[in-house]
Amino acid sequence: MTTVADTRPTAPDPARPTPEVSEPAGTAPVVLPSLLAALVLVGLGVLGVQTALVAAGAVSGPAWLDPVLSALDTGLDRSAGTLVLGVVLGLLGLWLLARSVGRRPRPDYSLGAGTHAWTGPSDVARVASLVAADVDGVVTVRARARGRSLLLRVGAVDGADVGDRVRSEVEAATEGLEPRPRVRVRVSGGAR
Amino acid sequence: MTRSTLRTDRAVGLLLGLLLLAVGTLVVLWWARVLTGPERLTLAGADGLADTAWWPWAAGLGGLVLGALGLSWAAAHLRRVSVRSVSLDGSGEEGRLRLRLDALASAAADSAADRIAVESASGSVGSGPDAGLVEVRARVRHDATLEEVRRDLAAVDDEVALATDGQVPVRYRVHVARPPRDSATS
Repeated sequence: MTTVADTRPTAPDPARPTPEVSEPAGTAPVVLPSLLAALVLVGLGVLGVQTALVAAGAVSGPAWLDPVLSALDTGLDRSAGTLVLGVVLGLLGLWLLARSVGRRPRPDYSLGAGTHAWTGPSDVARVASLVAADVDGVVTVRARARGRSLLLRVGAVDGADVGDRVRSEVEAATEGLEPRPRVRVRVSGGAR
Repeated sequence: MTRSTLRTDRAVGLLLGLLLLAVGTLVVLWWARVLTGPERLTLAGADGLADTAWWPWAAGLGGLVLGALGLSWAAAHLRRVSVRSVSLDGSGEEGRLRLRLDALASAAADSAADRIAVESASGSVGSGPDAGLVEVRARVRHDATLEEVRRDLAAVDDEVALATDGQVPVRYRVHVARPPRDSATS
């Protein structure tokens, strides 16, 4: 019989649902070459600073940039090594381009629109193998999920025709996952 | 790592990739005599640079700049920017309502861990591209069906929505627990 509820500015019910979230994603492929390039920059910086220190007399020994300069001075001739260098540079460029436009990897399966929940390939494989192991006649199961493919290798007792049953059980257990796994079953030891 | 770092990475990667591809292609074409040019590709006189008076200064300054650039670029990948708290609707002159996301994360995880299908759960606050959202990692029982997991997490989500008036996005990561060894034959 209190009046507290009446002073609320808005009714608490029905609640607004939580906002949509983006699916979980891994590290962008471009990060690896970027870190390598940053490392190369630092290395070049070390070469330059060491050269300056040698000239100032603070450090003894030959300047590390000297061999670089003489290599530039010598240049490239038409040897096989030059061809290899050109090909390697080109391939490195292609690799860098591919990594730069690559999307962040999204290996996970959604539990369905609006659930805001995701699970990984190894978890889907675990669910599938646990379900498959409960089917009569199944002795061993190994499952692997990747993208749309869910592959089960089933070892069955001789004479048992378990393939179809395993498939339907696993399909029922993974119902509603997105992307929907296409279940394939390979039976060994059972009916052929 | 922030979105702007990622944009820089992509831009530099594209430019450097195009440059390397172009240089590599030119070297191969020159080698195959498709492109006419000198018998040797060389920066003649580079050797003499080491004897000039300005070379050590240029090398040292350039080295400092490149080194600082490389270090700050690498460090930008380690920076984790996150949102610590959000302002709730209903904040006004008479007071502000701020919700700490780490408190929400652990409350949501506790709520998840109380459900039948969930063995244990932990909550965290997103950073970088996930700044502003709460992530709950739930370890679900190995014998729970996906339908049970959906139902339990939906209940958690409803609680969070009620508590935050639907202002904070929550992402659930489901891990299926390893079955105990002796139950493998059940």
